[in-house]
Amino acid sequence: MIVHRVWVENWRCFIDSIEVGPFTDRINVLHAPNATGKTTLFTALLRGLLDGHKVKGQSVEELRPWGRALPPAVTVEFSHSEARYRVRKQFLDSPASTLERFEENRFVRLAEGDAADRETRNMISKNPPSKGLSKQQNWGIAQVLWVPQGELGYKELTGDLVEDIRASLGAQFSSAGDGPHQKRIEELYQQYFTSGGKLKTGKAAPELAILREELERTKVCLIESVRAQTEFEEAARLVEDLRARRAQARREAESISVRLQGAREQARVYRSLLAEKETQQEKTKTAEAQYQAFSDRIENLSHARISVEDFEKKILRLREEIPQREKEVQAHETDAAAAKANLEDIRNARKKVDLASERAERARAYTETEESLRRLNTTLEQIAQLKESLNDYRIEGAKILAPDATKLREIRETLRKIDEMKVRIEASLMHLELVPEEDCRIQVLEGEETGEKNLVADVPHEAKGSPEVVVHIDGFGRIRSRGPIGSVEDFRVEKSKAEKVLSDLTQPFGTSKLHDLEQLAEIKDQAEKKIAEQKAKLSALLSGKSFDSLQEERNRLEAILKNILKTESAWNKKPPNAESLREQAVETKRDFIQQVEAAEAERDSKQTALAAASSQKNSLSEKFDEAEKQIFALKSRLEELSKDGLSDEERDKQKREAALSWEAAKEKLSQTDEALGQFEGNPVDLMEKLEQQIQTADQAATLALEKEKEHEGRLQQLSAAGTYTTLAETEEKVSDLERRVDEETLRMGAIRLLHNTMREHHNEAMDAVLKPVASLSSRHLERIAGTRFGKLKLGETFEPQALIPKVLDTEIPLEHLSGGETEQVYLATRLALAETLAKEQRQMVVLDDILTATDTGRLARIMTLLEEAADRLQILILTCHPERYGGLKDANFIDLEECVAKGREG
Amino acid sequence: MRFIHTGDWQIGMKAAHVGGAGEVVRKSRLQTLSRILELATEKRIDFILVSGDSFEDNGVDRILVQKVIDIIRISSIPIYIIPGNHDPLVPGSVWDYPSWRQADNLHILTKAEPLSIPGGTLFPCPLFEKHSRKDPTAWIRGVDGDGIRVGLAHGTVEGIPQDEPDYPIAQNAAEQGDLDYLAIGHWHSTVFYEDSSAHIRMAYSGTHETTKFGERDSGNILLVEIAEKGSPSNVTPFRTGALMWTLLEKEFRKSGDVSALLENVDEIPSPDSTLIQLHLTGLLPAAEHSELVQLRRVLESRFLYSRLETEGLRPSPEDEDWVAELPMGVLRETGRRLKDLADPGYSGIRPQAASPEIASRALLELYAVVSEVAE
Repeated sequence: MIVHRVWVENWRCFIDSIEVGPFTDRINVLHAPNATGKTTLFTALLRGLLDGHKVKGQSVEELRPWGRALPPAVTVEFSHSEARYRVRKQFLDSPASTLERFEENRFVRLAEGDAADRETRNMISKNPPSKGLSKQQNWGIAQVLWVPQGELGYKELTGDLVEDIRASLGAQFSSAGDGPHQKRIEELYQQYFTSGGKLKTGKAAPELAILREELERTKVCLIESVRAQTEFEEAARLVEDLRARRAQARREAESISVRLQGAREQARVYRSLLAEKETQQEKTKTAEAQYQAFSDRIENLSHARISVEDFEKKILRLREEIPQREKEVQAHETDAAAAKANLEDIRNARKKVDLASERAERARAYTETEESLRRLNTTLEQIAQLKESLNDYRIEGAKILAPDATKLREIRETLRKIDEMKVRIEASLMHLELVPEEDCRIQVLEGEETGEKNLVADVPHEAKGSPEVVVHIDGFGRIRSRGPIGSVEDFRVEKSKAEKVLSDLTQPFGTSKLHDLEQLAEIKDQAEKKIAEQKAKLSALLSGKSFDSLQEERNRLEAILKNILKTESAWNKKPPNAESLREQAVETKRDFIQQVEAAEAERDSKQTALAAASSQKNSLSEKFDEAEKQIFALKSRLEELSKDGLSDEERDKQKREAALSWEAAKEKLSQTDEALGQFEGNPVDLMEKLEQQIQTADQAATLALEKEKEHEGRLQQLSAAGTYTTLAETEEKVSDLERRVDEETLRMGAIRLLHNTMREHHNEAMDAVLKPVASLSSRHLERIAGTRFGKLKLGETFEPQALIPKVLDTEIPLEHLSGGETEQVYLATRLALAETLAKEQRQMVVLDDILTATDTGRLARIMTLLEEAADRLQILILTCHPERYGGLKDANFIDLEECVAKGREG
Repeated sequence: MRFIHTGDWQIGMKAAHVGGAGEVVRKSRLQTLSRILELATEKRIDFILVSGDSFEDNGVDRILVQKVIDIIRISSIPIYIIPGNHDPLVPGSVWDYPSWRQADNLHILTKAEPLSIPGGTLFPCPLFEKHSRKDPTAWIRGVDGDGIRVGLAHGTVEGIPQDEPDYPIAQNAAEQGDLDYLAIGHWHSTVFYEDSSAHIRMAYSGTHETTKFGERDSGNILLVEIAEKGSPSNVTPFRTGALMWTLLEKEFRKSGDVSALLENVDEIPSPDSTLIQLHLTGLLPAAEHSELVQLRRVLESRFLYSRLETEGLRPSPEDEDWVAELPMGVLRETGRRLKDLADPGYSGIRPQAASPEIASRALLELYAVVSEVAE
C-alpha cells in the first residue's frame, strides 16, 4: 500500500480541513516546526486506515480539536494491489465510514460502515482490535513499516505479521494449523522437563522421577536384604565348619592319646640308658687321664736327658769360637780408624777450592762493572751534547715572533668577518648609475662620496650611499634614490670592530697580512719541531732516569772497580780473564768432591765390617749364657720327674696296666651307645610333643564348641528373621519398580525425542526465514556503520537481539550500543523487513522524526540506503529538520505549514 | 501300597518376575498344600512322599514354616519329607525349627538309611548341601529292605541338559536300587521314566503350583499305586495348581488385529487367578494406539498379573497417511523424521536416545497430540 493524499478535519490541532499531498511513490519529506501537527497527521493516517469508525472512549474523544465539539474526520487516498482507493472516516458524532475505489476515472463507493472499516483494515492487518482504538499489535505490516516518533525500536513483532513475513520469504515454516500442536508438545515437554532438558524435581517431579527415587531406596533395601541373606548362609556354613572342626579335633586327640602311651615307655628306657652312659663316660675319662700321665712322665724324662747332653756339647763349641771373634773385631777397629783419618785429611783441602771460586767471581764482577762503566760514560757524553744543541734551538726559536695556530685561526676568522662586512656594506648601499649623453657636472648631495663630480659622455658613473643617494644634476634637477634604511651602519660598526680585533691580534707580529703571518707561523713551527726532536732523543737516552742519577751510577761503578783492584792490583794493568778463572775454580771443586766421596766410601766400608764382627762376637756370648741357663733348668726338671722313686722299667709296667683299664672302660661305653642308637630320635621329645599335641587338640575342640555355640545363637537369630523372605519381597518390589521405570523412561524418552525433533525442525525453519532478513539487515548496518558490528542476530519474531562482531566470539547485546547505533540497528532491520514485505507490491514506510541521535556522516549513508529502498518503497519522512534530508535526490518536500495555511484560506 | 508323590513346593518362593503379584503367588502355593491333603484323604492313600525343595530357601520366614506345619498337622496321613538342594539339612535350616514336632504325622528324613513304612521299605536320600556331583541314590544299591521298595530322592536325572552335574541320578536308578518306584524332585515339570519293561518306575511329580511363565506341564501331583513287590506301578497325575500362567505372543499384521486380540483377552476365564504375559510384535497403526491403551487397561485391571511387551511394535506403513496429513511445516517434518527413526533399518545418523523403540513411542505421542488438538 502507498498513500497519495490525506485530508484531515477537526482533528486536534487541525480545525480547518487541510490537504496534505500529493505524495510521490518514492521519497517524501513532510516538514514543519515542532507542534505544527506532523505526528497528529500520522495518527490520523493510522486511524483512517486501521480503526473502526464507531470507536469511542476517552482516547477517541481526545482526537477532537481542543475545546471544540467537532467530529474528527480523515480521508486517505491510497493504492493497494494495483487499485486506487479512498477511505473517509468520521468519528464520534455521526460516525461514518466510506471506502471508494477508483474506477473509470472516478471514485466509486465500494463499502460503507463496518464493511468499509473491515475492507480497509484487511489490506494492512489480519488482527483487528477487540474494541477501542487499534494498538501496535493490531497494525499488521504497519508495525514494521510505520515508525511513530521515538518508537524506532521494537521488542517483537506480533500476530499475523510474522506469518506474513515468513510467507513473503517463501519458507515452509509452519502452516496456520501448526501452532496448537507445537504448543501442546511444548506443554507436554514442560510438564516433565525443565528448560535445561532435565527431568523436573520436587513437587513438579514426574512419576518417573518419583519411581526412580523409590527404586533407589528399594535397591538400598535390597542390598541390605542380600547382605542379611548372605550373612545367614555364611553363618550356617560357619556353624557347619565349626562342628566339623570340633569333631576333627576330638578324633585327633584320641589318636594322639594312643601314640602317647607307647612314647612314654620308650622315654623311660631311654632315660635309664642315658644315665648309665654318663657314668661310663666318667670312668673312661679317668682311665684315659691316668694312662696319659704315666706316658707323659716317661716321655718327658727321656727328652730332658737328651737335651742336657745337647747343651753341654754346645757350650764346649762356643768356648772355642768366642776368642777368635774378639781378634777379628780388633783388626776391623784399626782399619776403620785409618779410613776416618784419611777422610779428615782430604776435607782439609776445602779452603783452596773456596779461594779459587772467590777469585773467579771477583774477575767476573770486575769485567762486568768495567763494561757497564764504559757504556754509561758514552751515554753521559751523548746527553751533554744533546743538551747543548737543544739549548741552541731554543735560543733560535725564541727569536722568531709568529702567531701560534690559535691566534692564526682567530686572525683568519676576523679577516673573514671584515670581508663579509665589506660585502654586506656594499650590498646595503644604494647604487645610482648615471650615463650622461654629454659631459656634465653633477653634485652628490647624499651618498658615500659627496661633492661635485664631472661626468664624461657615455661613461657610467656610479654614486652610492645609504639610506639614500641624492644627486643634483645641473639642468635637470635633483634625483633622490632611497633604499633599505639602517642596516649599512650596523655592518660598518661590525666591520670596525673586526678591524680593531685584527689590529690587536696582529700588532705583535708587525704585519697584518695573512700570508706573512702564515709564513712566520711556518718558521716558528719548524723550530718547535726541532726542539721537540732533541727532547725526544734526550728522553730516550735517559730512559726515564735523571741525569744526576746516571752520574751517581757512574760513581758507584768506579768505586766497585777500585775496591776490586785493592785485592787484585795486577788487573789494573792487565784485566783478568774471567771465564778462564771460572773454569779453573769449577775444576778444582770437582776434584775435591771426588776425593771426599771416595774417602767417605772407604770409611763406611770399614765401619760396617767392624759392626758385623762385633755383632757376631756378642751373639756367641749370648748363646753361651743361654746354654748355661738351659742346662740348669733341665737338670732341675730331671730331678722333679724322678721324684716318684721308680726305675724306668717300673714306670713302663705302670703305663701298660693303665692302658688296659682305659680300653675296658671304652668298651662298656660303646655298648651303651649302641643301645641308645636303637632309638629313632629322642623318645622323650616325641612324648613331650605328643603331650603338647593332645593338649592343643583338646583346646581346639573346646574352642570350636564355644564358637559353635556362639554362632549357633547368631544363626538362630538370622534364621528367625526370615532373611530370604525379606529378600524375595524386596527383589519383587525392585523388579516391579524397574519395569515401571522402564515404561516411564520409554514414555519420557519419547516425549523428549518428540519435543527435540520438533524444536530441531522449528529451528531449521526459523533459520531459513531469519537468515535472509538478518543478512539484509546486517548488510544495511554495515553500509551505515562499517564492518565492525559484524552480523546482526534476530529473534524468532524478527526483533534485533545482538550483534556478532567478526573479531569476537561473543555476542554484543543491544544495550551495550550507543543511542545512535541502536536506532541505526533498528532502522536497518525495519528497512530489511519492509523490503521483504514489499516484494509483492510497493509499500509505504513512515519515519516520524527518527534518527535524532545519528551523526551527519552516517545520516548521509542512510540517505543513500533510503534512495535505493525507494525503488520498492514509498518513504514518508516527518521531520522538523528538512535541511538534514537536503541531500536526498528527487525527494518530494512538503511544507505542512503551507498545507495548514492553505486550509485556513479555504 | 497307595501314596501321593509331590515335591518342589518352593514355599516362600521369590516371584520377582511378576512384581506386585508375588505375594499372591506365594500364598497360592501354601493354599495348594491344603488341596493336596484333601485329595489324599479323598483317595484314601497310605502316605505322602515329598521329594525335596519343600521350601525355596532355608532363610524363609519362620511364619511360613509354621503355616506349613499347621496345614500338615490337620491331616493324620503320614508324610515323609527329605531336604532338597534349596532347603538342605545344614545348621540353621528350616528343619531345625522346633515346631516340626507339633506334626505327629510328619517324618523329616535326615539320614540315608532304610525306613520301614506301611507295606514296605522307604529309601530316603536327604541332601546336605546345595550342590554336589554325587548320586544321592547310590547308597541304596545292595541295601536290604522288606516289602515294596520305594526310593525318595532329589536330583537331576541324566539326560537333562545341564552345565554342571548336580546331584546326578541315573535313568535306571530304580532298577539299580531294585526299587519298585523312585519318587524324585528338583525339576518342576511332571516327567515319567520307564524301565526296560516299559513300566514307570521313576518320576518327577513336578511342582504342585506353576512357578513361572512357560513352565511346561507343572502344577500336578502323582497318585502312585503298587500292588506288591515287583509289580508295575500305576501312576496317575492330578492337577493341583490354582494359578494360570498364560504366555501369549502376537504379531500384528493388519488393521483390526489389536481389536481382535482385545476380544481374545476378554474371553480368558478366571482372570483374577491368571498371570498373563503378552509379547506383541509387528505393525501398529497409529489409529489403533487407543485400542492398545485399552488393552493395557483391561490387562491391568482384570488380571492377577499382566505384562504387556510392546517393544517389538513398529509404526505401520499406513501411518504415512496421517503423517502426510499433518499440518505442513514443522509438525509434518517432525512426524516424518520420527517415522524414519522408528524404522530399525534406518541407516541415517541417529540422535542419542532415539532408538526405534523410543521413536515409535514418540510417534504415538505425536499422534495422541494431534488427536487431542483435533478434539
